[in-house]
Amino acid sequence: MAEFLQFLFSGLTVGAIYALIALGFSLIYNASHLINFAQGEFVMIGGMATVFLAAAGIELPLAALLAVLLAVAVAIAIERLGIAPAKGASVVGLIIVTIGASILIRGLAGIVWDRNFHSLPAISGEEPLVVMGATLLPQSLWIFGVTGLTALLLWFFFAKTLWGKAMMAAAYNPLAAQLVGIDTRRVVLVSFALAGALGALAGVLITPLAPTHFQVGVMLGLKGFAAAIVGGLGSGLGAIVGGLVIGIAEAMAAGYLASAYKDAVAFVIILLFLVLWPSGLFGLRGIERV
Amino acid sequence: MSLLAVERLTRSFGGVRAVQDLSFVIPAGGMHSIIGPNGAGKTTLFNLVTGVLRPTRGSIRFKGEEIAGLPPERLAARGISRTFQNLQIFFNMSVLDNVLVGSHLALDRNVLRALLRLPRLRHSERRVRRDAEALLERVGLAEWRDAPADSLPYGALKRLEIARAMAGRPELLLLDEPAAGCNERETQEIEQLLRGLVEDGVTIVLVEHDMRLVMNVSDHIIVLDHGQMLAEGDAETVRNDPAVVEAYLGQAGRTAGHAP
Repeated sequence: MAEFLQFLFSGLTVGAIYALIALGFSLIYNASHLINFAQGEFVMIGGMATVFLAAAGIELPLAALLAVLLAVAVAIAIERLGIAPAKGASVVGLIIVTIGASILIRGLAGIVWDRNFHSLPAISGEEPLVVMGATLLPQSLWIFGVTGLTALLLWFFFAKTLWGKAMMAAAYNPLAAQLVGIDTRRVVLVSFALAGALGALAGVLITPLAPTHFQVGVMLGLKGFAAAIVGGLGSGLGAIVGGLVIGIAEAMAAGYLASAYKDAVAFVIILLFLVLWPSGLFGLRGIERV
Repeated sequence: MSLLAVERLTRSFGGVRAVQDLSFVIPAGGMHSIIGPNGAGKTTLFNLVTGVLRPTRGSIRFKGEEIAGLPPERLAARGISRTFQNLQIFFNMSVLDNVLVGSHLALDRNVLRALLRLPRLRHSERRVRRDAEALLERVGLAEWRDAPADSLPYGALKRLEIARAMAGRPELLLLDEPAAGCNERETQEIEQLLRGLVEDGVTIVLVEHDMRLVMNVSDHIIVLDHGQMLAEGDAETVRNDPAVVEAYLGQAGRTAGHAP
């Protein structure tokens, strides 16, 4: 039981991180029907920038905030320089633009920063709590809290504010949205900025538990994408549930089978869903094939 | 004063001129109809005026200012709103939310400012919500308020689209076949609704195939054919214009002429 609980805690922790990344995928997908494969790079920027800003002598909380802002700036740059000028291009073409952007960002990170692994101190120390024989790191509680709060804020934004509704309208029918006065290009821009912030937040939070590296975004991005697919692209609740499902499945496979299978689990799940249930657990019907 | 002035407007698609050298003026107030056979350029004209298409040549002035080529969301902000021949409803939302999104313009549109001043935002959102509910009442959809839009019958969706267009408080409202596919009773409801809007001072431009509706409600009719103006005037003038009757009104025109 303690063993199971231990795996569950570690699955929920990493799952909450995947959920944050998946929320970024869903936001951009909702606004533009794009899958932004640079999402993982925002996570990398969040971790790496915090590490290097802290090393330059900046207080950790401020360094983390600046790292999030840097990811937002990079996300805005991708949209302004890569997506907006290519208006009229097919969705597949734009997805390839995001893949190109991710390769560029990764390359720059390897040059501007370095190619070593880095870690950050945990927010509330490393002293684990013992719950029914299993240990739970305080950092995990921070991750649960921040992910939960972020999900609540996003829910409030989309369900309760006119701006959120305007974004949903623009996603559903861009033409009609424009004709009631919604600037759909700005909606896409805002979705990129939010996704950048969410990704970087995930990067800041996970770095104390899993060291960061200039290429860490590839795998984290793919896991987040798998979470978004499992939950149903475009669904906020789906992103959360999908993230937790992938995280727990991974932790169980690593614990009961072998840790070598950990990464394979996410990809087996994503393949199963894409073939058997492409709209995901909470997705809308009629996802287009690209 | 003219609300909308179109001058020598041309739009070509490849070699086809959907609208050519068209000039007309819509004065402020009243109900104006644009009629003509299929392919006459009516919908193209709407798309040009609402910024969905850019003109090849020519000028469109709204309240004296050149608006040709401006994007739709800017035109909406200036007071031009429209509905579509084939419905463009946000089917993923409730009836009320559709109208609320239409009120988007009435709110502070800066996201950051909106997020940072929540109390004021809440206040204005309450006002917007009251207005949206009043609009639903007006188009007879109050009881459907919280229903998902995709559960509404066709005629109700037509009125929902009008309510959404009105939520932006337009001065000029362009309606593309609001009665298409509606039965007799639904058409009468729409006619009542349009008359009410005109009384409130909204200038309406109507594209409609239902000649009886057009002849009943219009103060001013523009007849298009092959992208050019064939005739213009009040219902009586247009109905008796031999060119119009011969060219395309045909039987429908004469029948409508005998209608009360």
